[in-house]
Amino acid sequence: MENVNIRTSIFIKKKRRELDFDSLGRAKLRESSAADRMVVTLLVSFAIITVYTVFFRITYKWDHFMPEKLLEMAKGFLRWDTIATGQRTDMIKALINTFALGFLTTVIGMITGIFVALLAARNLTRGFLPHMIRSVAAFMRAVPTIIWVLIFVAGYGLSATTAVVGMYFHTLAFFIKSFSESFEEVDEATIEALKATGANWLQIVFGAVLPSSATRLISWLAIRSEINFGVAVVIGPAVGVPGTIGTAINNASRGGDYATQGFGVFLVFLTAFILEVLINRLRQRSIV
Amino acid sequence: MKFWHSRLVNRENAGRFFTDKQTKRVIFGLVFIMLTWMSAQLIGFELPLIFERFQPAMQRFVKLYFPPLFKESFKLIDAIWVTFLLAVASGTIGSFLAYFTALAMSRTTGKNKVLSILVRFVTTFIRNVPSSIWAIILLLAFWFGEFLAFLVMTLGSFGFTARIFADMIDETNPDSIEALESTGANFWQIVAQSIFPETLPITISWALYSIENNIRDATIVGILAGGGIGHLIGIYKNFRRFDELAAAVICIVVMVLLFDQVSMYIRKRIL
Repeated sequence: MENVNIRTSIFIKKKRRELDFDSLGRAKLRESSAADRMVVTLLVSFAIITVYTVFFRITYKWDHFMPEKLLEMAKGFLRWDTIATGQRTDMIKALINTFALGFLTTVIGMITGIFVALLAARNLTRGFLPHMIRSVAAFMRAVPTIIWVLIFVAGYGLSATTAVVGMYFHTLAFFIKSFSESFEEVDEATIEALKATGANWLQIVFGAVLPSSATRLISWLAIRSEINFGVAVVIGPAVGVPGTIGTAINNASRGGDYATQGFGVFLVFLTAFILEVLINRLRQRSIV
Repeated sequence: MKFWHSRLVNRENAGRFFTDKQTKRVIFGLVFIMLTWMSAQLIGFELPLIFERFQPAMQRFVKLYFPPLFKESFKLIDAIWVTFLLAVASGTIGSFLAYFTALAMSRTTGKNKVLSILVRFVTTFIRNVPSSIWAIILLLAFWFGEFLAFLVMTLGSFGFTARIFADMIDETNPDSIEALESTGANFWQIVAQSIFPETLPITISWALYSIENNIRDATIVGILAGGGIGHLIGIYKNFRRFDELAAAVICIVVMVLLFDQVSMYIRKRIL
């Protein structure tokens, strides 16, 4: 035991990890101590970058800072009695439109995503295809949704259809990644057993893979519908898709109508909150 | 045949066409299809249009965006660097604040019920209002620029991580806290000696994740609030300089993919 290579570190002292010994009887502590050093390095570098950014990099424009506007907004936030009825119904209509946009994209993305994800799951498809599909999906996810929408605006013009197509690609890539990972978690023994009985690919998919991963798929679907609602809110003001709640809120705040703005923000908050509660319930039931 | 047979033979389901579970499924499916169709009608979605116009749309896209033009390379690199800095700084500060909020929110450490409920309410609100809406609201009070982008991203990171940290602190080992309590350690001593060391690696991996999210969000936040690569993209979009926009998009994609790889590597090492 003369070669015991113990690198004490602040975290090991506290946690008392179990020691692994190699063939010569040396305690292996290197991996964990490397991890601890990395943690410290990361903390320090985060701190340095933050200090540099906040104190030396960001340009502050305090001469444009208007706290009285914040106060006005806070005052107007829940003053719904001052909103005209027409504006209120317009806002609710915009919310429903936005939700429909997100929902439709999620559904189309899911239907196509399941099939592509089946081809991208390594336990169902052999060869190079899963790797290729995953790489393409990673690329598709790296391009921001807003860019996808901008790309299709160039060809399709500004309409809800364009927004759906633009949002679709990011959704599809998300589903390919999450669904194929869910499929890969299906018990290998079940698939082997079905294969042994001579079941073909489609029978394996519909008999074993889809039923046993259904709850996970539904959870992912719920999570994506929440994300897509947020995206649908975004693309209104950024690209200019008419009739969505983001555009309505943007117009209200540009026009200084803080009560309407507050009403819109509240509606968005409420929808997102309800979706979140639903997802939490789904998760508790299915345990992702 | 089996389907009908089971419905005739099974006494429990005698006289009922569907079992309860199946009825639920069928109704759920029908409602789902109805909702989809209604959504499509409502927003005026036209599926045939997509295929009809696909080829001309692609031709127009290629003509506008290709080849990507790296004209203002220096500006582009600077914008990418600023985006990275803003994402890291806002992720760090957001997670830092979220950690203390989570201490107040968690069941194991949040002894003050009033504070806990108040903090829960505030974080729920911040989390569920999308960052773009924050950008629109705060734009009026803070001027267009890097600081606003920083603020918006910080709010996003804060709302997202606060909830995760609260769950994480809930799951820490209660034995060590109890042991420390019995020695008479006060609240901050318990946090520093037991909770903080135990949760540090997970905290950092979630902070990394929120930085990743910030980088992905930077485009949209930049278009709406200014600052970083998004600001540049907003300018290119408004002045219809699409070939330069394509160059900026390539930069974003490279940055996102690179940061994903780096954070995946770090996460593997520290967890």
